[in-house]
Amino acid sequence: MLLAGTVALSLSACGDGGGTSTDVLAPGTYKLTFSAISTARLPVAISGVDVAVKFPVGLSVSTNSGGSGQIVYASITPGSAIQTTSLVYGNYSASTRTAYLSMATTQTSYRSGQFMNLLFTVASGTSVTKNDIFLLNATYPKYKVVGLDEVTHSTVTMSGTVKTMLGVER
Amino acid sequence: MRKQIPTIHIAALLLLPLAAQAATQSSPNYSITGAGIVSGGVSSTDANGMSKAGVAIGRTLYIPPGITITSPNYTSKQVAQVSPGGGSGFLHTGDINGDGIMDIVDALLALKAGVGLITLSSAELTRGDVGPLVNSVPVGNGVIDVEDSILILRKAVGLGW
Repeated sequence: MLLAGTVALSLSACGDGGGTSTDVLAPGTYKLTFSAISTARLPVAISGVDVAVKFPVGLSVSTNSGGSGQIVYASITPGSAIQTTSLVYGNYSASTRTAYLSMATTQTSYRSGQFMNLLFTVASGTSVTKNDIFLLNATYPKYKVVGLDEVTHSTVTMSGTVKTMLGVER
Repeated sequence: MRKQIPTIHIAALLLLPLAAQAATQSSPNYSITGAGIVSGGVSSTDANGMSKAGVAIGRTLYIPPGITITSPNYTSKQVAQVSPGGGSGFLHTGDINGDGIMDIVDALLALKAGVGLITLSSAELTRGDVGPLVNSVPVGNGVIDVEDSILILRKAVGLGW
């Protein structure tokens, strides 16, 4: 199961915040998982995803500068469904509490499953739920899922077909 | 089976100003006239007249830089460096940093630019703007995003596009 081991329900791509008290995250470090799903068979494999995720107050991402900027390498990794050469990169804006992330892979068989992970920290004294983390798919104009048609040697954009789901692991 | 020619990894593509050179060059499989008409090609996939040493965009042939570009069916020389619009510039090669090699560094630069970590110069943006790819031809769309990153990454590891 793609999301086996997650301690929380997958979050909707465009969550509206909120949550119950049972969802409150205890202080500590968690792994935010990004998974691609689609209800239709994709015309080509997914080769890359651009995505943005917004964090609530109380959650933070480690950056090289300690504020806004490049997310440290150790905090962002390819997901379990990616086995071949891949690159992941992240940029965090402290002012908007938004992480802009990109994953590119040479894998020619990836169509669903975890493609990226991001570590984040929950500060003490905060009451934050998993549902307070949400993707900006609907409002982030750069959300993009793209693949390459090996037959026509043309890129194929599948942003409207593929959704990205979030999960939280301890 | 598409032929692989080493020069395809060379940095910025350069325009061969056909009309300016008033030259007609041809090979058994490829011809270029002074009017800028490109025809032929070295494989059946060259719907746009793309050679393995260059890319035809519209009616103009772009070739990699270097003193001499040689393929089994085509030989030419670097003669100018202009953009499709006619001004100075670079073309969609994927070699963002312009060091003559398209490698993982360029893929990283594309990713960093895509997430807003760095701002590319105009020339860098043009070189890195390889996506969309249409029938093996890097068309570009004016922005650097994951579409460019995957293409550069593939080429950097030898998969081509």
